[in-house]
Amino acid sequence: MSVIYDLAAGFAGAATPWNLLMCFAGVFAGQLVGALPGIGPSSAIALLLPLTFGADPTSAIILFAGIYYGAQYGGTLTSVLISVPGEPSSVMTSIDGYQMALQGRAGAALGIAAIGSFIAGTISTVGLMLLAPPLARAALAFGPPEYFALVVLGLTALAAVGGSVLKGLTTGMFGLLISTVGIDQQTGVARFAFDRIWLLDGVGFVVLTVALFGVGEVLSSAGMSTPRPITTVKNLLPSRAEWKQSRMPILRGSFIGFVVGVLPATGATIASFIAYIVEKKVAKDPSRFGKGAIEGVAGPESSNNAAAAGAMVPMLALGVPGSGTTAIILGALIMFGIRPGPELFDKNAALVWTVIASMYIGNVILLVMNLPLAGLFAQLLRVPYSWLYPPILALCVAGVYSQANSIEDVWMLVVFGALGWAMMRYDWPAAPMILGLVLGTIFENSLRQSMTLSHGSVEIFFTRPISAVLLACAAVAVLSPVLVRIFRPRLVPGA
Amino acid sequence: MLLRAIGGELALCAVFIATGAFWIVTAAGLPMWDGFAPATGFLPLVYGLLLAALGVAATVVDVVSADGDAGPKGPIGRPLMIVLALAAGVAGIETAGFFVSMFLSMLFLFRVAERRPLAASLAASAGSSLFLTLVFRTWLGVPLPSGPWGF
Repeated sequence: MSVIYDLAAGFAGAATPWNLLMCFAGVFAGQLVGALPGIGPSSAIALLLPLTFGADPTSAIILFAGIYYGAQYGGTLTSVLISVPGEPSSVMTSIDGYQMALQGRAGAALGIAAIGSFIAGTISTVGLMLLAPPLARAALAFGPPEYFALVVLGLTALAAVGGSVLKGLTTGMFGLLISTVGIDQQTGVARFAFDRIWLLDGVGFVVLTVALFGVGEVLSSAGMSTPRPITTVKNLLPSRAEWKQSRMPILRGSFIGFVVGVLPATGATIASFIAYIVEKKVAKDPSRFGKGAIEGVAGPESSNNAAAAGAMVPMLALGVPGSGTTAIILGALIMFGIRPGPELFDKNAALVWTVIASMYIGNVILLVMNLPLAGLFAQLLRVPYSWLYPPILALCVAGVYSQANSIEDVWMLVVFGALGWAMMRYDWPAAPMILGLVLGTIFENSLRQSMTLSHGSVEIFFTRPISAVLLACAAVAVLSPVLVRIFRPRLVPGA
Repeated sequence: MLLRAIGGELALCAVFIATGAFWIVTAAGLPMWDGFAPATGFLPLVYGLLLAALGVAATVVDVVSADGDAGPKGPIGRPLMIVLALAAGVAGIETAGFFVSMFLSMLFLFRVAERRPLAASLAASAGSSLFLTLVFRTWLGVPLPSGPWGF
């Protein structure tokens, strides 16, 4: 019953004119960045971080969450209309979505994606609402060893999301390493500051995030702008037959997406792959897939939206992000002085429930906006990237400068931006680096507290059941891709 | 050919290894243990060791699994030009002011790097610089540096 009261209070908070505006701005910006080439939700949130510094945390998180789930649909536009997925989670949509567009059914593909996204987003928000609070309550018993294990799990799980666990672990370690720059909060000793006053505060989360996801992505995208023909959009409402074909894929996709999204180290991309495979397996005529089957759009699109809300469960309840974008949102919470994790539902209940309520509202806004405005958003695809990136770079500079009025921060932006570009070029994931920087202090403090509690014995991490289970999960996250690579040739001859 | 295909990867690995090594050397001069708990230098030392080890492992994996036939990953000329334009813009902020240095930086990118028409490039650079200056200086109250001309 308390869930109903909490949600009602959340709606009261979310329905204020300012928060409604933030919600609208978030989903609109999310759609925009999802549709525009070269900018993703991570970059958009990174670029907006400086603007929200000093603002109300609830409104800022509503904005960021809106960008996150709004971008899932924005990415669909490019997948369907030009066969270029705006987001990795829209890759599967492009297979049948683009074929539908070539057959003159782009409107139906976008329409069913919008309706499926709305249904899946709503179902998964209900799941988030029901699952996250008990998970957080169960985790309230966490002490320093459990927090230490949670950070290890968060870092390893995020490292395992990308193509190479080794690269993910390396960049995560680099993030932890640069978190040691500045004054040690426990002892007051300066480390790695090289007698520079501006380094005593360490490397800022905003500086690194804007550099890696803003400048890095601009440099990466500016090198490869290839315009493609864009199909026109009309008749967005699917026919009765198309709706009948899509109903069950939407429900299956919602369920798959939410479950996969909740699991750390998975995320929307894997959810959409699984949903597509499931739809193909259960189809009466699998040969239609790849040739414009509407189920191939409905399933993956529903699952990637459901996964976005699912990924908020471990992020809000445990402080373990399931994707790069939720890692940045987690960093933003810490920037606002809010500690994500088990205590969040207790100490910042109003914020959490307002954000959850705003997700219901945001899904309605997305549906209302998508059906009439899909054609307008499609026109955005005609804007050449060469007109977009110079102002984005200037925004990065102004945003980073505004954090501490420090030109040194802007120089760090240039250096880390170049590093971010090199990392993207060679497929080194940037999100673990951000997470390493963000969680570095919690990691060090919980390690020290745990060691003091245990009188210097590391056994405390393995004798406490929750800590041991979390560390075991971390080991599985790291080892499973390695084991799959070793054993796959034996299991799948010829692989 | 092989070096060309994996040269960038190896350079990145070298950056991580060198950073790890630097952290090890610097952390060695800091206190390691205090009572039952790690002191200021312990975790930086561990991070340095792990980063260097992971960098070495990534290097080995790159060399072992390298595909000599894989071509280079596209030209790097334009990204380098953009980085240099950005660096020049940043270098000019404290002397010429935010508005002027960002205007010139964007104008260079629009006109030289992207070969856009001069009039449109001028309009886009001026409009974007003015918009950002107004938002940050006027709306958000950020004291963006001004040039000798007062803006």
